[in-house]
Amino acid sequence: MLFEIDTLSSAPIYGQIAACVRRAIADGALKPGSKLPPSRDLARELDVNMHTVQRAYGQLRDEGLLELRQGRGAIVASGRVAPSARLNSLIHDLLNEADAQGLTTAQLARLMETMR
Amino acid sequence: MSTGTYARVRSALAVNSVLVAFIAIYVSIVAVSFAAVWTTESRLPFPAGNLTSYWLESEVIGIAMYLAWVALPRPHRMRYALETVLPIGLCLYGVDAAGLAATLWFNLDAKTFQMPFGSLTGIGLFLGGSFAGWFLGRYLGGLAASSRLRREAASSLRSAWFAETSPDGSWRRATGITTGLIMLPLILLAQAMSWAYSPGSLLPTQLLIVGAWAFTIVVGDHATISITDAAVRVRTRLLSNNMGWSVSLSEIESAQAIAARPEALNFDRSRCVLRTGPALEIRTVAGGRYTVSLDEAAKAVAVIEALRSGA
Repeated sequence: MLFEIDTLSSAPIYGQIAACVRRAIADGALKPGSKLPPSRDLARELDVNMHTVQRAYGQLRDEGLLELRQGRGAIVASGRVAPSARLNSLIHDLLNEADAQGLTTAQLARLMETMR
Repeated sequence: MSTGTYARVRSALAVNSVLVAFIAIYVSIVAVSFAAVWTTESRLPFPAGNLTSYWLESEVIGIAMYLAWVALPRPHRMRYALETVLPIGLCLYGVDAAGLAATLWFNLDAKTFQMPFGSLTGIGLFLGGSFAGWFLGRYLGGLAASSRLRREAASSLRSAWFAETSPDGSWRRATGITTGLIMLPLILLAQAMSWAYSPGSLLPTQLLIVGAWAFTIVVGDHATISITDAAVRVRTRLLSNNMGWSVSLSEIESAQAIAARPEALNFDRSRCVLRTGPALEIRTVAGGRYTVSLDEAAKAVAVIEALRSGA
């Protein structure tokens, strides 16, 4: 799978990494049981701190998208993750875009209310 | 994309820092080892000189191999030194340090010479030393090589695509023949030299060599392929990443998906073919050709082209 980050973006790097995984799961590029690269390898190739990658993986585990197993690394969780994963991915993309445009969460919420 | 110094390094001077670090580690291990032997001589059942000369010989062979590997003219000498020779060198030093420690431990206050290979504890110490050195070298070398390649790319936009490849039966056959032909002389050499260095049964040593051969074939190699905006990198598990390679994006002339199969007695380390089937082939502007087995070779080519066009 392809990870893409922008170090100059206002979105935190761990959030960008997590968003890449969410998108890949939502698009079906990552199937349940798929193994993600070890956090150390990914950190090295993206030239970021390993704890940043671990934080991203940890967030995805908390969302139920990943299983982190000792010695086996990060694996895409099996089961009913696809619909919420897609929604999560879209929401995170929206929040990142709002951040990039300087909108606060409250402003974004108001904007969404007006569109309903 | 920048075409920084790392991609084009050919000068021996460029590896001096690595060489100095390597020699510093070597000297410190040898110094500690020799001090340990000479201070415990009165409690050993043999003259300390015998032991130090034995270990000194292997150390000299090790450092000579390292110097030869690094000094031989080749493109990307620095990368080779960091990614391959450093892990292998530290692995050898780990074996030596652990071997010496085991020999001292087994022989302190003993009445006759005790061979460290004669017990599971001794074999465990040797293996532990080799793995500790191997992991340290692999980690440090990989880190240094990655950061150099990354500095060349020097962009805020960073991309990384990952894939993995495992060996099939054709690789096991080819590797079994190749490593078997290398290990057979080692077993015979161990038998021939038994009277000099390790009196007693050599069966554990020979079993260890045969075990290493069987382990290599049964467990097999495993390649991790990463394509970033800085480089295409292949890292392998066996022999301290000896079959691994990396090519910076600025050096790539073309990338294509081909069909490849493992070959016995092929020592080309730019050819990491672990299975019969699709493979990614990269040709560099300098005329080099790098291959790695990859089921998603066509997708990898597309990723490389996309990153190159965006670079």
